[in-house]
Amino acid sequence: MFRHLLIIGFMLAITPLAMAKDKPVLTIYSYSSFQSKWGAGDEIKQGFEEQCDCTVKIVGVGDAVTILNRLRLEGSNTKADIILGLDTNLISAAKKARLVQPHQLTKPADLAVNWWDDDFIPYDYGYFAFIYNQNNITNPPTSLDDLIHNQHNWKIVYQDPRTSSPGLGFLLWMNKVYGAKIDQAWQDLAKNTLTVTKGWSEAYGLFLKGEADFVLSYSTSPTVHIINDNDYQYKAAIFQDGHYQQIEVAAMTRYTKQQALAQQFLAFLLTPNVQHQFVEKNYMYPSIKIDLPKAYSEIDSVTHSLSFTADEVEKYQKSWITQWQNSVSQ
Amino acid sequence: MAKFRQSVTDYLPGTLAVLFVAVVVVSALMTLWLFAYEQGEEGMYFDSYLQHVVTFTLFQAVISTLISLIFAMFVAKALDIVNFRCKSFLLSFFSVTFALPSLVVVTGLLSVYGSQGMVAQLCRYWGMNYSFSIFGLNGILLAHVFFNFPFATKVYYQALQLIPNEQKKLAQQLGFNAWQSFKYLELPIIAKQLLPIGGLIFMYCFSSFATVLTLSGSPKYTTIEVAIYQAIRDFELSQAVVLSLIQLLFCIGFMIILRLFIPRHTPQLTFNYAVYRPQATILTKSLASLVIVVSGLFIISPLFAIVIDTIQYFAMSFVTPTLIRSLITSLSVAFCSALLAMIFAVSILWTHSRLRLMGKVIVSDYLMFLGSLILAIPNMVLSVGFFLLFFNLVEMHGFIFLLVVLSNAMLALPFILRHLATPLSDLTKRYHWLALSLNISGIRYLYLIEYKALKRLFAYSFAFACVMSMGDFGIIALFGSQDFMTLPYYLFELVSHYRYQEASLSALILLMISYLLINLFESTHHD
Repeated sequence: MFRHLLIIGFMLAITPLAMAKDKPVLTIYSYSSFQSKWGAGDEIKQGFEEQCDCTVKIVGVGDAVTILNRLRLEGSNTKADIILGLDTNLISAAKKARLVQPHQLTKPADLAVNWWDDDFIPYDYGYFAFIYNQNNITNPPTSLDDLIHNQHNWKIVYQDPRTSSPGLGFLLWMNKVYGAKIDQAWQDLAKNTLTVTKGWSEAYGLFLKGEADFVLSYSTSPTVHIINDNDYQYKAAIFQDGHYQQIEVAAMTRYTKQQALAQQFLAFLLTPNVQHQFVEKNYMYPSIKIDLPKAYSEIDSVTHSLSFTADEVEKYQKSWITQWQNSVSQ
Repeated sequence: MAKFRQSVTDYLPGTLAVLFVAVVVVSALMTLWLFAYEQGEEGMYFDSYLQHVVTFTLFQAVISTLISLIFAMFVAKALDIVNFRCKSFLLSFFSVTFALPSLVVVTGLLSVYGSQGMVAQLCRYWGMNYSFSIFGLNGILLAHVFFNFPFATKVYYQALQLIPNEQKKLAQQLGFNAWQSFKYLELPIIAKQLLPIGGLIFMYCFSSFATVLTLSGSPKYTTIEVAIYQAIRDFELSQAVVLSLIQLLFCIGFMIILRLFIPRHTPQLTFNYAVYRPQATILTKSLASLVIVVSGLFIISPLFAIVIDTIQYFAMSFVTPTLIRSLITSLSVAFCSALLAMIFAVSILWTHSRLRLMGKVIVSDYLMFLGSLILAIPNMVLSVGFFLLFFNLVEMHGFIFLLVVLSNAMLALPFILRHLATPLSDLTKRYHWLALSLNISGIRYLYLIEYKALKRLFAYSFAFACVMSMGDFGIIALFGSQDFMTLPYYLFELVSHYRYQEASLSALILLMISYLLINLFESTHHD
């Protein structure tokens, strides 16, 4: 048995991997949902192949953190030319591990998001928000404090900042709003918390099942229900004191051998057709000014944006997580 | 010389299979650790929170295991007492819970026990106040018992069937009361079969993660696996290795403690050609029936909820080519993994039984433990280890498939080892010398003695391994998976695109396939 396995393994290992390559290949690492059936990957790949005379190869690996870790594990052996899917909270880690290089593109005039970086291109953005069912909640909260200190015994579900990006976003949001008073805020929130889940899917599932009154998601989540099911009952609670912003970014890897092509692709990300793909399939806002689908005008939009710089996130993230752990475990 | 050759054929298969598993596990851990070392990582930490987490992990695992085992004892006994028409129908549900992703099980449990669930609605209908909350320690225990107790029940029930009819008849002639027949007939079986199962359940609950986090209600109740996951995500690989070793130590420790309770000499189990059921009083029978109804409801109602959820929203548009393709992939993975797991299991048990026959009980126990080693290693750690070992092969066609088949086979292995270990070693005790004198050995022995006697158990183990291997895909998160989509993976993709109703169809298909597989293989040989 073992011998056979060894032989098979050996034979597989010496199989030459040489394939006929007439066109250059641009390899993109992204999260798995980018290249899935409902992701924006396919259309973007086709669109770029039409104009680059190259082959685009998308490798979908888990989530944003997995992309970063795969790149760290591969080091200089990586085949990736582009990484697409980190958010602004992971940028510092990527820069620190020296995984990316400057894209040398100039900031477009029609940029809709107030963020520009030498290494990373912002390709879409959104705001974290709590979603509720307007059939059950008639007087939604108008600030984060309203939600946390509500008198209605509303049950809240959010994601674990240690295991999920929205969870981390919420941790930052809370720290932005409460600053030095964060300990008390976490403890008060704990009283109204139904549970804290590993990822977004579990939390949103609990909410749809009617177990929770509010779920941490994105302010654009209601558009998905409108577009998919023509369902208008779900709404995002818009807070006067603002919502934490998440910007999704792409960059050229440090070890790419296709610099010109990679640069061309990054510029391509900021063209209207591609931006439409992100709006329709990532359910996020475009990073340049384009016309949005009708559903986007039917939802309440965020009026005030909150964020930390990438360096602040890198510096405080760990201690804030410990603080959260200790406060909510009491 | 003949003796030497004999011992080689006795010991080689098991040793090779166990070595293979151990090498895979150890090399994955070592690579990870070496990589961390080369990166010049900073030191490890173990703060009060981690201490608390380890304590809680241990606590919930022990409690979950105990509850599962005790329930299993009662239900299996009840099933043994009463015979009814739909028994095999009911029993086939007892094996499907393992196949479902935790996301689905949690949804099913919520449909029953949640604040909008069936129980709550019934209570409201009868004007009662429903205040049970599934979130917290009780939710964790509920889910763990739901996962594990049916498996334990099934194994124990099968073992009860293997008590020699002569013993049962003798007990009845001697007028044993319930306690006496428990003490003399069943307790030895419990020690022999159920305690080792307890080891598996403990490892399963100790390393449980997504379920625990979702149902815990607060990060206060979490397992060490979440800390490992966090360490991997933060790229603190040496921290992850150290935490994995802690987890491993606890599992080994628990195994050692369990061993203390297993008596050295246990009665032989045999394959009975006819079922003999001692007569029972009306009271015992009605009690047993009650136990069966309650446990049946406990297991079937969440599964039933999954069916209802799907039928309610079903649309033909849910049946997509991707769904069909992922179903086919899942089935091929399941069959290949189950086959591989069976080959591993039979090889290990071949050696295991012969070692026991020679009186080398400790060595044989270690063999079994090494075969089950993989359960104690966190998925994420294995995933990163495998990635570091094999990332040159990622682009090769079919590699991902091989990797998933291998890791699923190794994950199913401990469970089918436990299923088959006792019956096979008892069989060896009975027939080994006879077979030697008749010059029946090797494959012929396997076929004539082992397969013929335990055909049904083999078939069931195969089906069980299939069911277990339909599920997991976590191991390949790092590898990327362009063409490789299993059914649970598809389900996950649907959910992450807000398509919960469509996802429930995949859950239902998983459930149905598991059920059909178990039924198909179980009914091949009926009493």
